[in-house]
Amino acid sequence: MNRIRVLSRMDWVFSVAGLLLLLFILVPLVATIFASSPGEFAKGVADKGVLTSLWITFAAALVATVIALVVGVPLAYLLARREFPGKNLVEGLVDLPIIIPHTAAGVALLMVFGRKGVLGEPLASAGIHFTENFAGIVVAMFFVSVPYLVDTARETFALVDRRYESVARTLGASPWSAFRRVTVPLAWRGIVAGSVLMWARGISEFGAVVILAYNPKAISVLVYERFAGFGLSSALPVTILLLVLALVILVVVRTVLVPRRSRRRGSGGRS
Amino acid sequence: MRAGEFTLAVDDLTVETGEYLIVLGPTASGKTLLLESLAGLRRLHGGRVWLDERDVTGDPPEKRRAGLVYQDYALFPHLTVADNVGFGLERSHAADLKRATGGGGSERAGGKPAGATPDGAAPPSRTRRQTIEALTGMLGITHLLERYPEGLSGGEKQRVALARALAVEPRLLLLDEPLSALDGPTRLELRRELKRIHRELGTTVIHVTHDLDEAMALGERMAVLVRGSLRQVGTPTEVTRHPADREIAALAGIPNVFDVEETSLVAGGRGVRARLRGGCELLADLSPGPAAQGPLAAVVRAEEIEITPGWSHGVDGLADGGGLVDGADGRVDGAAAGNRLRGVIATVQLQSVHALVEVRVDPVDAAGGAETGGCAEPPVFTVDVLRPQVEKLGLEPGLRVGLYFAGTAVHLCRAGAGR
Repeated sequence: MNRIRVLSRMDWVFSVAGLLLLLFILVPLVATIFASSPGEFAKGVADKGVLTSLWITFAAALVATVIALVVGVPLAYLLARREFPGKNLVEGLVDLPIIIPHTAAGVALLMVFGRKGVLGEPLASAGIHFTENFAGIVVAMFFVSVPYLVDTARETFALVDRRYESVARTLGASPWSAFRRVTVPLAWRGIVAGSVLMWARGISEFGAVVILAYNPKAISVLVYERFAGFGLSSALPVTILLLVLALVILVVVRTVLVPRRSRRRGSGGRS
Repeated sequence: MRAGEFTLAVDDLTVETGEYLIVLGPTASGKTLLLESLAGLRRLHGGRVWLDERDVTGDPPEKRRAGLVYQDYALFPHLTVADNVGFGLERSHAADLKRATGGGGSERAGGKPAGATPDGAAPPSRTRRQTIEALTGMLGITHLLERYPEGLSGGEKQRVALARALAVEPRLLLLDEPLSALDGPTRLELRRELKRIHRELGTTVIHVTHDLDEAMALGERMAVLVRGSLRQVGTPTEVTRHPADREIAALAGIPNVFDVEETSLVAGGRGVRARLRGGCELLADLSPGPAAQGPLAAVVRAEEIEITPGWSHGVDGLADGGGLVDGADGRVDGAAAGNRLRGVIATVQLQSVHALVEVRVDPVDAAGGAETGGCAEPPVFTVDVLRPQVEKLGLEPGLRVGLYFAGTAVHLCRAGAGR
């Protein structure tokens, strides 16, 4: 690919600007990873509290994502396919959790799910609690990370030519069947990518989680606690672990799930 | 039927079982909307759709059995050719189809020459695999069964799309510009293929296109759609000979369209004398044209005009009036009258097979001896000749020529846009 032979002056300027940005992201990561010796790292990570925390965090994010698949994907489909009054409002509402500060989101959730909350109080009398437990972590993660799934799924659905569904219908498929046999197979990569994004975003949530459920400790809360209580060196091993984990997730999403040109996929009918 | 700002108004359109109906219309005339409405993919804002004596207006597409083939085929990219073709044969909704149609394909079997295809009178027990093989064999795409749509050529995609639609034995096959995205030779090949499929399966077909040649080659009947309204229905010959209005004349490829200022019956009632804007007169046969209300236009098909180089007075008893000859000379094989004009070639446009010759008709005064009022603005006629004629007759700009066309070649239609 020798298509670009000469870099224009603009290309140089833009490249330098881009490089500065990349360094800003990369340098702290690399510096952190090398700040701790392997021995300290192993000791810090092998801590039972860390492993429990990791497990709780991954599981809570997974539960939140599964719930979002059930309620968020249908909404994403409607937003991609149908026109209805107030659609703009709904789209704005879905994205709201991204914009509001997550500590504020936590407070808002506490108003609903807290012991005196709108839902929390009646549910508490039924023995269901949302504070200082696993369910609280799930609720907090769900609230702040669900936009990532809905938005990604919506964009994916919008990219599936609706005429595929039309043709399926004329071939005798019910709307359900057309969705299952045509839309989902063409959109699954996007839905899975959105799920991974949401899951990863859920894992990294701190603000809303810490307000709803300081205990059991999600991993982000654990890092904060160690930093506040024992200083930087104590927080470092867990931090490194999380950074590496994030990188792995990123690589998985980009290489496996971002649509590539392949025989099985592609723009299909449009040529 | 309405989509956004666009309104499609079809008063009444009946398609006979087994018929091949062409819907001719320019781009954005509402052709796709019409097909999607018939397939049940659009909600009607009024009116009904009947299929085989049954009102299907409220039926969802999966209950109608109207196969739809889009212009760019819309093959499922995630499925192989075999799975595309077999999509409608899944057991899950095959049962629905049978329920929806009762007899299951018997009405179609009637239109089929017995044993004409391996597809034969498909027994309902035939397996999915057999149906796929029969159809792909018929369309010559058996070697593609395991491929995915992405690598196929346009013609191959089109065949797959046709096979997919035919697999469910549709009561109605809707084709949306099926040949427009193909290159020339493939287009001709598939045109033949469509004709053969229609002959062999006897499926009722509604085929929309903007291509007049395609319409003439395939259509048993033709419906003309302009800007969302159905303007004329008839055989292709009727529509091209007797277009109902000016826009249809243009769609039918007629370059010679002139506003008519006044008409009068010729003595004896054998024809109509039409005075064009600008003063020239043409003689037209009484044709099955529209009721003469509102402004009219005279149309003359370019290939109906004979062109003769040079000019000699008095030949065939030409009237010197420079326009119109009553049929009295009796020269024209039984036709009541003919039109003789003379003029000068303005341009000659060569095409692959034909050539279009533009002739500026002489003002009558200049031709000497005008009694008929004279042409203040002489019309320009376009004449369609075969290319060899251009050399044989030495047609070139500046040459004086005579034009002749029979009264039957002149058709009077609405000058406006219909309704």
